Amino acid sequence: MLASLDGGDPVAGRAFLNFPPSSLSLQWYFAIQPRLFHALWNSLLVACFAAGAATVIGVPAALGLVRGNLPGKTLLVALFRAPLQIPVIVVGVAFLQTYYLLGNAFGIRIAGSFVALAVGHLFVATPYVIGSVGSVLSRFDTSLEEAALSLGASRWRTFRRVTLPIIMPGIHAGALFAFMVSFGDVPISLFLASPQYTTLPLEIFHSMEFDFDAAVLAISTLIVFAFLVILWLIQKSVGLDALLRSGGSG
Amino acid sequence: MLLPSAAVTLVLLFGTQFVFLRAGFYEDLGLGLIGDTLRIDNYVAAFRDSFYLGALWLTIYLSAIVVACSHRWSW
Repeated sequence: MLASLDGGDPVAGRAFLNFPPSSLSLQWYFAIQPRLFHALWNSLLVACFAAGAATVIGVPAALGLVRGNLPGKTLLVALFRAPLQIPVIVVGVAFLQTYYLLGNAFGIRIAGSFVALAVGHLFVATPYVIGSVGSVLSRFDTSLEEAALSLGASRWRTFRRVTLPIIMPGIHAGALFAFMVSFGDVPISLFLASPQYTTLPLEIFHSMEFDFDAAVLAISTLIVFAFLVILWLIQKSVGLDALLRSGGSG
Repeated sequence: MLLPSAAVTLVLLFGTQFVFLRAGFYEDLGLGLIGDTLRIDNYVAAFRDSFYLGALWLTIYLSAIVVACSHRWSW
């Protein structure tokens, strides 16, 4: 953050990354290139898709795992947690190989597309939602639902008016974790992103690796502040303690 | 309710991992294309190449340090 405010030191022949900063300036904030904003937009889109889809998949899965009386339940739990046990870099390569195979064998050419990238992120984001919602459901007092049913409410109405509001902090927490996992991902994006759909962490990674640009520090600082604002808004609206209590350990 | 979620996870997990593991037993022709002959040359190369072995050793070494430290500090 301090480096992003560095005004440079031309006498020493260094334009940035002086510590402590020789002078303070916002020059790097005005030097943020459009490609970084484009990458930020891509990251937000992918993370929103991954979080939304992970919630759609994860909530019914958590309900089924916690409430269902299924044979082989332990195996199912292991299946849903498996994406967290596989190294993320392997997930990236495996998805890329699969996309190539789909293209070569069936003519379904999705490698390098938005869908290809988003599905890869969805795969690793889903266990966070399942863990978070499952954690709330395992502490759920089912007598509340029984009371609603005994008072004449239908199953759907009971779910909508009793169950859903109680597990909502878990859903929020899971979706938030899924969003953050997707937004900050580099290893999967490294294999699945294309020049058109490059994410911000990947752009930062490439920038640090090949042509260091201090504007990257500026946009990273802006993102840190944006996330702090989001966390503050969550604290104001539902309370961070409610989210933290709901788990999210996967 | 569990079935659609399990089906999606199952396809994404086993589908991709199967393709990945299968590719390890064939010659890589690039862009997802693989050779016709089943072989273990890729595995032999991985365990003979000092670069891969060095990277593998470093990964295990770092992981062991992380496990030891997290065990120590989480007491």
